[in-house]
Amino acid sequence: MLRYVLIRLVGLAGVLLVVSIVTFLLMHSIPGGPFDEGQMPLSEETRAAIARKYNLDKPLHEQYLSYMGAALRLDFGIPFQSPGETVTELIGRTWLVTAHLGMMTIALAIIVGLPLGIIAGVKQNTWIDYLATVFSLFGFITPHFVIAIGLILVFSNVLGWLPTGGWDEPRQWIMPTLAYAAAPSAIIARFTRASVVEVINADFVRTARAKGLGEPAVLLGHVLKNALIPMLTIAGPLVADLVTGSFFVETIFRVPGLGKYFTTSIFGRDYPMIMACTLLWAALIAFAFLITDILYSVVDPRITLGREKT
Amino acid sequence: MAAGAIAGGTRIERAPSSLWRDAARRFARNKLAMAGLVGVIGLVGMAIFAPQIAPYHYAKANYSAAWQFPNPAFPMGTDGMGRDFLSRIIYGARVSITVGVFAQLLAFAIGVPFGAISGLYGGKVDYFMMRVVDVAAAFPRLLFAILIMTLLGSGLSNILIAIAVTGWIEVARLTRGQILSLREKDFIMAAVCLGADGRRIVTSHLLPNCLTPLTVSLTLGIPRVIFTEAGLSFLGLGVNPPDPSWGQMVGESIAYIRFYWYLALFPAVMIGLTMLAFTLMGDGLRDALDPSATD
Repeated sequence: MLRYVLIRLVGLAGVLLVVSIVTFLLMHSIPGGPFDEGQMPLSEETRAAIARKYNLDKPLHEQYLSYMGAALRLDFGIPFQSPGETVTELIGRTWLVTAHLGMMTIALAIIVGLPLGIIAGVKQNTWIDYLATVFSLFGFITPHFVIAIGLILVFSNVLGWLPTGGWDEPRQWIMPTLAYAAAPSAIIARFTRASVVEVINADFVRTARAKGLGEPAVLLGHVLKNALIPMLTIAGPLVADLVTGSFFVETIFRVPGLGKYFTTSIFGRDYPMIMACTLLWAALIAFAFLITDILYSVVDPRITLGREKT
Repeated sequence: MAAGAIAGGTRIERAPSSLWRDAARRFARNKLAMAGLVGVIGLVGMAIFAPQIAPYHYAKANYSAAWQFPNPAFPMGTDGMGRDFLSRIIYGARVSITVGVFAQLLAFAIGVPFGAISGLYGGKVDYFMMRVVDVAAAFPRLLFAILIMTLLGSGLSNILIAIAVTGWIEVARLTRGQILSLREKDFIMAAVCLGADGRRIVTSHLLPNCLTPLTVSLTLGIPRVIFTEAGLSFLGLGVNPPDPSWGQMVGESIAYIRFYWYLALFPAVMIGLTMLAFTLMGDGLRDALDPSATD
């Protein structure tokens, strides 16, 4: 197990290295720089001084090496769009908001999706099942910005109950969470239903019933316990996806999260911020997959790690 | 493979039927799938015949009729430049459908050969190619697409590239997995024993058997691509103005949602409906092409 984790971590370092090189080259080949005439009207000397300060006057490979050297010590530079703080501070500040939204979304998605999937799976091919299927189909397909607009129209325009955006009071958390949670709860419901249906027809469930166990004990102790294993596959990436933020939900509801800075960093050629965001995201996703795999082997003793599957 | 290879003995008579014909019959019986198909045909028709259907030109500004609420002259109202919103919605289908279909085809044109080569050669080649896939999969997709759009500039063909650049990864994984599992099947062994050469095994045994899962994946990937295009356009990185794209229309209208809510609602609903139609069709296709289905 330890050996396996170590190998994976080494692989992760390699992946991050390649990702950082490609991102660095890509963002520097975008025409225009962070301190161009259009962005900031400055004199020649000032521009040169700024370029010197941020190492922008050096050749590319030197810039890359010095950035990555600093990044290894967890110093990701100063964001051009907000020079009063470091990238780490900016990400820490905005990520708190994004993670907060993401956590509420995950909680809601589990609270809605899990029971829905279980009920649909247990009451297979009844009207409850069909209703749950239709719900999860719509939640799965409808883009969250469409749901967001629908929510604003109903709760802000027509009913006037909720503000159209902002992030100052809990009332403003409701709509972003709802819009954001639709897709994950649909995914959770679909997966849960599929694995419940599969497990409920298994022999050991029939055995459990045959030996006289009550229905709640069968469902909780036998069906659910086994049906939830496949859920781990989607849980990892889902969590990573949600805590890294959504551009659209945050833009529409004016949530001051990381998602907004993801995009503005590219528009503003904010090189340190682009690098930090890409690396953060790539590392998070990789860790999510690693943790998923480890949990998998913990929950299901039939799975052994480290064997290359073909 | 020669027809004579069939072992002698009694032949069981059955009305001749191919996988695709069976699938077409199963598909036609599935109401949801047919609804999806009708929707897709309607959208494609709308995209092709946009100049004939649209009451006005999509870019024709008419400042004396700006910000009009939906009315008989302008069934979906007008935007801030007095452009007929219905016409813009109709023309917007062109972008969504084109991007949806062609970005997927481009992703498959890269991913299928990549995955097939990796799966066929195995060993070191496979290992190396799969590490390339791992790295490519580690990029944050949307951020990467935004980077590429900023690099290449807006425009329809650049959207295709930006989406296909990350879209091929899953296709390559799927194709590789298919090839790997097919390679172990008995009928491949039989073909090898009968003396079929590598090219014949690939072209007439392996690839045709990959066709069904790939078709399903192609169709089911279209809604996601349409969503990505809408997202890029929402951020202002899509087609060049004044060309209409639904995502861009949503993005531009979101600021006025308190007052001109219909400007955000109509394109948003169109994106949702388009994704719904393609998903229903793809789901139906998957069920219809399932070889284990019997009826």
